[in-house]
Amino acid sequence: MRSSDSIKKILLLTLLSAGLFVLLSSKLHVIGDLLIIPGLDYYTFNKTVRYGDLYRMSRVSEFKEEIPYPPPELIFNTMEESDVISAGDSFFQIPINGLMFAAALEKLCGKKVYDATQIDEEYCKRPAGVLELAGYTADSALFKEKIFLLECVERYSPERAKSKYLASSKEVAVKYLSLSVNILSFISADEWLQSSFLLKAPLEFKADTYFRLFNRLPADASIHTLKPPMLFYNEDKEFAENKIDSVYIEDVANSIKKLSSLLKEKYNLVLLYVVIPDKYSLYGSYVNPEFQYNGYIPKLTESLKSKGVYTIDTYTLLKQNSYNDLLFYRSDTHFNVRGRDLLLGECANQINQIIKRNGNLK
Amino acid sequence: MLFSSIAFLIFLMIFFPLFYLSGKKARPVVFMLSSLFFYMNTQTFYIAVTILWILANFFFISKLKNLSDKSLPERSSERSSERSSERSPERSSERSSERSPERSSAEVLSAAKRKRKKFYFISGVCFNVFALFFFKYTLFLTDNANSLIHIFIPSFSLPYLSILIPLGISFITFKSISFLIEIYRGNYNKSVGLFNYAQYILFFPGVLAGPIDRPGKLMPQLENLKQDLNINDLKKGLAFILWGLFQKAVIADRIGLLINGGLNNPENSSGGELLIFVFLYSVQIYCDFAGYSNIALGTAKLFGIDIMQNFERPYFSKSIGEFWRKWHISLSSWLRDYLFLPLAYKYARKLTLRNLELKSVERYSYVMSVLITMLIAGFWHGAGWTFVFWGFLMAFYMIFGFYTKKFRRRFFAELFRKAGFKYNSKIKAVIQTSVNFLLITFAWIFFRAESFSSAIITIRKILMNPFENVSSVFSHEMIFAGFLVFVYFTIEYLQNKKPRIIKSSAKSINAVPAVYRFVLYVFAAFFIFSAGYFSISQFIYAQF
Repeated sequence: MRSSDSIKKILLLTLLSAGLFVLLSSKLHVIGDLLIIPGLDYYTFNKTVRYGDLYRMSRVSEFKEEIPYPPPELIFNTMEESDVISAGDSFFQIPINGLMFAAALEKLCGKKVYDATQIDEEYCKRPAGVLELAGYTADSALFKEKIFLLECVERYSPERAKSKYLASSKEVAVKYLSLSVNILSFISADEWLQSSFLLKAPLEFKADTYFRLFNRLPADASIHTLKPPMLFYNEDKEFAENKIDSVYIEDVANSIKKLSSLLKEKYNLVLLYVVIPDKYSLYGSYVNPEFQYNGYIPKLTESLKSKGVYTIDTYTLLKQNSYNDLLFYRSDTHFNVRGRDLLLGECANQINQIIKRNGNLK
Repeated sequence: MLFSSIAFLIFLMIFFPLFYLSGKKARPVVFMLSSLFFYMNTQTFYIAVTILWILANFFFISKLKNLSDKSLPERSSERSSERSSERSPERSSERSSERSPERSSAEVLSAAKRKRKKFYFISGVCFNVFALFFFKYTLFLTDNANSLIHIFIPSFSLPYLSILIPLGISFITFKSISFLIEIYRGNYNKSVGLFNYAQYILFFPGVLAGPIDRPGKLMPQLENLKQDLNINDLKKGLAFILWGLFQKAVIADRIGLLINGGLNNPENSSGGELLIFVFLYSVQIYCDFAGYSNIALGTAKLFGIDIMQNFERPYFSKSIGEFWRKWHISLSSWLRDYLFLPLAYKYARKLTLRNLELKSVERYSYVMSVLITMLIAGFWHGAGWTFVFWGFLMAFYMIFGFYTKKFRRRFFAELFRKAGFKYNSKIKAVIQTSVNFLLITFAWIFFRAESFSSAIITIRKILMNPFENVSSVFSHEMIFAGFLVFVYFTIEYLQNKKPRIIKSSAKSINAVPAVYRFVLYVFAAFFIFSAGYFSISQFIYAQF
């Protein structure tokens, strides 16, 4: 064999080994976890701290914030024995100070809560479809009237509400059609590499240099303020500044009303719809002093109430408490313990009122 | 999987060495595995749909191939008998009278085969078109049908089907149709195996957004994947990938972050801001797609495969026709060969039968063919009326240009003469290129807009107050982006007008000692890594 062939072979073998090492490390936690920067692995719960999701994207040191992240307490109620079924997006899926929203709600209001989101993330996008797949029927004696607490973050609320899947029980959830096999995923290898020590120095150097040169973050989370240091999603800003009219609100409210009727008629569930305000809707004036919120949540709340759908004006609730208090983590899109507790209190309050009003609820 | 992502880099780090380290016989299998992994990484389930698609097309191809193969000797025997009859008419008449029953039965058989061949061809094309419509346009058609129904019966709605669009469906369809046509026309006569056909359709560098390589070019290379690693191919491949990443991650995605907010919500932006955003979008879409194509080209080159160049500095074109010859070349040549020319021929033949003047025949057939081709091109790009209108605008430009060609020449010649310039001067070229770029940019407004109303708002704001609040756009990063765009187009200008400068620069770089060259490449890679945005946005054309 010629020496050039040997060199080629050695180079190819080195490249292959490096690629396989990264791929396997992302799949096998025994190896992979050793190289992960503690706190950047967002979905592993056995960490004591985590960094905010917006920091993870930007990696600019000015916004580095350690968020307490103790292992969460989980609840294991069955659907049949529960009084409340709760479903939502990341606000309900990530534990805040060791408690998932459903568990915290159960503790506060003393009712049994079924954490549907932990079973299937699709519940918040196509509740009726997933209930149907789970075999939930109103006819069953086990399934007495319950409350269905559906949470949605503000920026996705109209899109999800107007989606033809929200209030349809006939749709087979897309998730079941698009099964992705994790072993084939190179995307998880990408995420692992970016969260590992291997790329820590270059990524942070790039982010800090970029931020100092252009006063801009090198990612989608491209909105920030330094007084106080806070990060925001671009999407939040776009949504909060978008002008909305009454037709738009009516459209969303009608879809939610349709879902409410379907849940009641077909599954004997009373809907409590909760929209959590985007961080920018509450604190946008920190970035732009002239910022004016478009009023999506208060307007939607009013319209939903007029249609007889249970809901909470979370914006007004949180805004009133936001002047002297930070209700969201600085480097994260989610609320902190204080923000969560405020919402929790109001949810528990509403649930108790609904139970009082509807005598036949469990 | 994004080409401009670390995930793709890891993918290449595994499959590129695996390809060359495996034995020559195993290389086609490794390449097929890489294509399957690439495809399944994004949509695992839809590989089943795509495999069914491949099997169905292979059935049509096999049928066509069988009929073509069997009809060849008959045709050749017919031809030879025709030739001999030309030589000696008397003898041939005797022979023909002797063999007439056989011959007529052969002719009948041949006609029947041609009919069957046509049947399989049309069925194959229809299958692909219907499948494309089902996956890509069902939602759009249901939406439009419902809007129409609601006018008459407000309470009734057609049900919506929950359909995920398989990855690269538009490109797979066009490649499949291309294969059918090439075999039907007899342009591709080699035998086709299922494995190699699947290799052609799933070919991972082009499965997301092309180029739509013809079987004649790609198939022979895929059938012979036995080459050893060639250092020149490796160097060229890496150079194309780096250049593509520069276009995509450094320019296109940087511009995207600066303009997306404004163009998504034109109501919240001023006329001046929108004017700049619209021009920058022209640059973004070009660098995005050209970047994708260069990465695809470079990746294929790493495996020793040559695919076609998809762009040839289109914004330096002087007419819309020239633009289309240089923009997305594999699509425009596909449309030209399989749609425009057959349509033009069909119309010309129809109109000639009506005894029209040759000029009128030429004009009408051109207009109809351009209009139909561009409307289909628009609809192919996306299931929305804005795309159809974009196609219509392109057709309108071309037809308008065709009709006013003589008038414009006379008018501008006179204008130039009066102004004291030579008509064929550089000024003319600059004006033509600028006007062309403006027209294309105007059409992109509809292409980019989420709805018609959004496009109209953008245009209205620009026309009402084109300089309103322009200064607010010029942040540090916008200036940096502007500088990068300037550098990029200067290089393109030199490639276009002064290729010698580029060649001599390349030569002088090659003359530098290898160590310094290596440092230079590392520096280029470092710059792209530092200044680029990675893994953040899908290629614009991949959504089509």
